[in-house]
Amino acid sequence: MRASPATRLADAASYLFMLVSLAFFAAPLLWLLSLALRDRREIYLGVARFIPKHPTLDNFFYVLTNNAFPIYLWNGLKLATLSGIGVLIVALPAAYAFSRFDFRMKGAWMLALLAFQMISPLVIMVPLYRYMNWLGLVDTHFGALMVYVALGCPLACWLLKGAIDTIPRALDEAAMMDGCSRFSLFWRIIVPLAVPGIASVFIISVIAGWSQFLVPFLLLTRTDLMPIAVGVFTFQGLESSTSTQLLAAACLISVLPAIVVFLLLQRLILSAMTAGAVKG
Amino acid sequence: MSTDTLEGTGLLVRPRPPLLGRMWRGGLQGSEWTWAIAFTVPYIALFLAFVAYPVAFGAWLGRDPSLYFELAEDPIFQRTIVNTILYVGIAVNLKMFGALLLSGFFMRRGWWVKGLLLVFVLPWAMPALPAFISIHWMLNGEWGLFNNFLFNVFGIEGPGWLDTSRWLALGAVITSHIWKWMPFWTVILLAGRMAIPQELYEAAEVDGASPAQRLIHITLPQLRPAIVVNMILITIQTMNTFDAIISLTGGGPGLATEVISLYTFNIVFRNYDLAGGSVMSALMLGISLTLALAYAAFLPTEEER
Repeated sequence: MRASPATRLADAASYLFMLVSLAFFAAPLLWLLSLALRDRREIYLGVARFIPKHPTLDNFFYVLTNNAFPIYLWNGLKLATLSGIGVLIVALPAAYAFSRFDFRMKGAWMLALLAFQMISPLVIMVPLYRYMNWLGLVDTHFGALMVYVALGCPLACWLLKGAIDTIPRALDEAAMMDGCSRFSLFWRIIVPLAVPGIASVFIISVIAGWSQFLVPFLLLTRTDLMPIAVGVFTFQGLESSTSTQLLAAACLISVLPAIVVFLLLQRLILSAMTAGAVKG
Repeated sequence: MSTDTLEGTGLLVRPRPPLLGRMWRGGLQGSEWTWAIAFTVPYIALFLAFVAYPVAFGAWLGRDPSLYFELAEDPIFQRTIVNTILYVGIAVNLKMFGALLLSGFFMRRGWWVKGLLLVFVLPWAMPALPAFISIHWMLNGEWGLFNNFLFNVFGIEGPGWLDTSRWLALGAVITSHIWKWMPFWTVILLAGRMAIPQELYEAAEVDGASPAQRLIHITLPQLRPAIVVNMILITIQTMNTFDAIISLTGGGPGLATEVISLYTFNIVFRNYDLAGGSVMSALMLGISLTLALAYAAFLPTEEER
């Protein structure tokens, strides 16, 4: 069956629209790359070329051998990974409980969970700081981590519940009849079967932790504790006309790990997002 | 996993004793209840300590009504409210509309559609600040990518996008925000579209419905709950994020793009005014919670699913 001319025209139009939006979505990344490969003089050429004439990797070397930057990278990696692990430790048992136990007012609890998913650190900035200061957790990675985990848990719990819901309950019941305790049932049967869901929630949490800005900006004031997102922001504050290409290299370095992880694991991430969304 | 439990799965076909089944369905009893508590304790503890307590503390800090009257008379605050309404109103609707259209496109099959989807979701995976710093440079009036493109291709001298006019700056900020956040909502709506039973479309095709009719009579009504719920989530999210604004314009030119969230941030981190900051925080908390309650009211309950 051949499509009518009107349909083909509509197709062509929508593909054209797609190409334009493709440029729109990919351009900032490419521009970052273009700037990071230039030397100082080429930034200000009256007619900037998208592809620099004398590409150089000097900026990357400079940034990576700078004193502060590797520490920012390490802190960012540490906080993101540990927050991913923390989210799983807290949200996985809770997700199992939400999936399997029929406790009273379960619907209301789930709603409360979702409502608090929307609490932004911005609206509790001041009380959070004063409270953490009182606890002595300001300028500790532990304190920042606790907040990362608390903020990441609602979404994680919601997605994990979706993953556990797909495991048949009959499996639980059979194991219980064989004398398996609740915990060993959870640990030996549910967790291994939910591994794809768990992996994607871990990745989503790590990416979210890597991008955290406000919480570490608020709670970590010492330079040697700052993660990369805060480091880049402070670096932007110091930006002078001579350091644009360096900041571009720093930005690119901070963006790349998230992109690489995302591209490698895209199938897992997208399926977790869509599965959770269908249910929620 | 031990072989015992593997063999145990073989029990699936055997009927369970009815008594056990009833105990399972009815409320939780005895050790079950203990287990349910044990599984949720870490979550509840963390939630109480690092979310509920700060929220309550924040509400307590902003308990004096006279603070709000003072705030309402602050001319800068009045400007930020107008800016916030413009910013949130335009950004939320554009984001939702775009996500609705794009999610329709991504229902198509083909490897390259999948590839495109990846590029679209990239902004969501990228850390916000470095990405917005790049856009900031693209829009630079003198050597930015955008103006150079305009000059080389069309021979037009582009304006200073971020620092000359209120509307240009606002437009730039909204566009960047959409760039970062529309992909996420596109994926969410895509999931919503995938959940629509295909038979509805097949039946409509048999009845000779045009694509527009299918959109109006099937897709939109089916997506309505998802759209309503997501609109509220998007509104809360848009109101609370200022990363595009802080990296692109810093609230300028003048106060043109200073929104309520950025103003709160500036009060705390630039002016070190913790009292003022807590009033602003409490105000935003109130708005967020109101919207969250509205959101909860629109959600389908467990039975309706």
